[in-house]
Amino acid sequence: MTETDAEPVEILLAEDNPGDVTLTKKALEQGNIINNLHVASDGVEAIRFLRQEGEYADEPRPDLVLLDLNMPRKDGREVLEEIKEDEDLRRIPVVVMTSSEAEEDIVKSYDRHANAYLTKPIDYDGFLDIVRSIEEFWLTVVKMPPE
Amino acid sequence: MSGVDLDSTTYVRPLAETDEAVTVLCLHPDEATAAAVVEGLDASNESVTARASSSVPEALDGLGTDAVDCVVCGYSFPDTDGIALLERVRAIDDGLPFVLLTDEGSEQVAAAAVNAGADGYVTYEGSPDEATFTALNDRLETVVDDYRTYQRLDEATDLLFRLTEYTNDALWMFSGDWSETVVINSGYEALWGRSVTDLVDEPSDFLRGVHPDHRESVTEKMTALSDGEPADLEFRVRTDERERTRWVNVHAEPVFDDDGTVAYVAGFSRDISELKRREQRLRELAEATRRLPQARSEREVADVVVDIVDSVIGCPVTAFWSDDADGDALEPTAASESALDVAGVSAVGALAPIEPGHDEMAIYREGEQTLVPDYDALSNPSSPDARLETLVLVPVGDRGLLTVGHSDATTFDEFERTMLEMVEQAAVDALDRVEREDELERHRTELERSNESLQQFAYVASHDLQEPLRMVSSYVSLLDSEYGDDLDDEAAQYMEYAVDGATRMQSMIDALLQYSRVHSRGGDFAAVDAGSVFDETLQSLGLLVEDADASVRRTELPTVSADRSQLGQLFQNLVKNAVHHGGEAPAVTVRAERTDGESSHEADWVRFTVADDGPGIDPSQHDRIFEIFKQNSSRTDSTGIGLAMCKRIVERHGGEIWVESDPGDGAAFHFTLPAPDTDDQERHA
Repeated sequence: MTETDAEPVEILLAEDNPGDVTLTKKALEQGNIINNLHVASDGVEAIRFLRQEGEYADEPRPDLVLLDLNMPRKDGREVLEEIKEDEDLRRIPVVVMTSSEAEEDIVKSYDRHANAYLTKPIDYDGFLDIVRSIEEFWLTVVKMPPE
Repeated sequence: MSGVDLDSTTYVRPLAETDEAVTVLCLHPDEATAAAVVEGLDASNESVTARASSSVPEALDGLGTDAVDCVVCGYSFPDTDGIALLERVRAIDDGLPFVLLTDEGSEQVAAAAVNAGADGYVTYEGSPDEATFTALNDRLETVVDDYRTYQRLDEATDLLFRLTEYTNDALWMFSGDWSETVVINSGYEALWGRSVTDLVDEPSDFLRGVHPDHRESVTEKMTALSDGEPADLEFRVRTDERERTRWVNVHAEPVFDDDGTVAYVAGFSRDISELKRREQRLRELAEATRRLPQARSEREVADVVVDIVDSVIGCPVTAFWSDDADGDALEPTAASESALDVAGVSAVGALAPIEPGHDEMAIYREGEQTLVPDYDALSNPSSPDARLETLVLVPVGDRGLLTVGHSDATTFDEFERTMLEMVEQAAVDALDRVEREDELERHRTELERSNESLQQFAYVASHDLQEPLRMVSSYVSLLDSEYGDDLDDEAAQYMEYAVDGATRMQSMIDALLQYSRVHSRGGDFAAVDAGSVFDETLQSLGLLVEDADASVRRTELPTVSADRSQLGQLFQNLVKNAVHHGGEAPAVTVRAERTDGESSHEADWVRFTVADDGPGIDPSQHDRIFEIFKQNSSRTDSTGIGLAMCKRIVERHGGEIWVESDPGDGAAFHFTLPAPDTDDQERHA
């Protein structure tokens, strides 16, 4: 915890809906943890960011990925699959955040080794709560392996 | 009754009616005496007609042909005497009464007459007088009576004997201990294949013919008969060296004498081999028709039917022609190899269809099984070149025609035709079932397709519709939290409406999702105790019921075949509905009754009723209330999905739901669910 106090936490948000990007930003700003939020607006960008390709060569490796399922070019399911098949990336916790309550999406996400699956609540307060609890759980409670 | 009394109710009709008149032949060497006796008898006894003769040859000739009941004969003839004549009369008719009438009465003559078997001996002195006639009349009455009785008994015995000879059954009587053969007819030899002589020599000889497997049970029954028990049994008899057997049925009774001991055992044995063969064939037929329920299409049913007729009924030239309802012709659907051979084609499809105008079509339209003794003699047959002789046409309901033929002049017996009738019945049932299943399958596919669409829609709704909705509500909230202080009350109110609208939209989407999951997430059907499901449901509604000051009562509820959790949901929605719409302090009653299926293979149903005493529902709304989001009240805290859910759940169970209500008189919601299989119940019992 002392480490996180000193250094900001790096979060990658893969989300194509600017509305959700703003809401997530707002929610994280109100949280206690100092963080750097990076946004990829589709799956292709998300993967390039993670692999630090091209313009992302100097970007940090994220401590947490927040992943929307439905995105253009490459959707969240594929992104998830690629992360979990990649030996270097698979330890990064991926939290699927989506509006889908469809059971098949939930099952398939866990089958692809998502670390958590969350449905975005309809009301703003609920949304804030959820983002805060993600922060709390994945960034302070859970002990991740050393890099 | 003028038949012979055999000391029982057995009756034997006399061969010819005999009148009471007695004909007497009076044979006397002296013509005058003969005439005097005739005259005297005629005068003294009105039932006697007497005839005189003084010529021995003439009298004896007449005996063979004329009906004479008694001979009254003198003693001394020129060249013979009465005793010798008695012997000659008896040679002609050994029972004919013979009375000796003589004026030469002596002890010797009397003794000789009795020894020779004369039935009477009457003497006179000088010429016959009144006393003679009285004595003669006395004798006549007795001897003629005896003679006639004897004759009738003789006839009766003869008839009974012939009766035993003309039956195929073995009729028999043994002494009570089986040590002596008392009666056995020739039917025994034919039935057993053993001789009557051997049986007479040794009564137990018949046991040697009994199949070894049955000997023990037969001897047991023999003992029982000797002990006075009647017996009915069936067993096999070996009829020859080649071990051919036939089945016999035996019915036997003990015959008691006056002091109650078994004097005889008597009975008959009947050949029931044919009966047994028929039973066997019927069993084979029943066994074979059990394959029909497995047939999944008209073609499969037709194939099985043709095979059954070929292999069980033994008519290899068999084909089935189906009536596909839209076409005019009967198309060949199945045919045996032999049927193809006979028609000279190599495949079922190559058989000529039966067209209107063909004789077969006319018979099919008549709908009755019909024998065509000579196929070539038909004026308009569908397959004129087929090598067919006899043909039975069996219309199979309105489904098609079964043609069963022989290429030679073999006949069909009644039994075969009865079996064909049974096959026809089984085929009609199977074809009806196949059609029902096809129909069901079509519905099922349709339903599946519509469920799939709903499924897809539900997915879209749960994902794509949620996102914009979330944007609306989230940003209105965000607006409120960040700029709320700058807005007036009216603006705050607007924002509240927006959030409220989005929230309601959200719950409608949820409801829709739930609705779509009735099918995709439904559990298996099992025997469920509706009573306990209802009680659990009611408990979970406790607060609601309490708040509404409602009373909910149920009668005994039976076990049904249902998805337990959906049944709970069904009760919950209906009770909620009744409490909500039941007015003030509503009284809700729940009951159920079992209704029998229309036919044996249809499931039984349970009809549930949830009734309230509220304001009721206008008849124009009775169908509408089951539609999704079509709630009949302005309450905003419900999504209008409850009754639509009920309808969908009931329909998933194959049942129906409807409402009966008159405005002001409460509402009764009825729904039906299948009763558990009888098999299940039997197992539970």
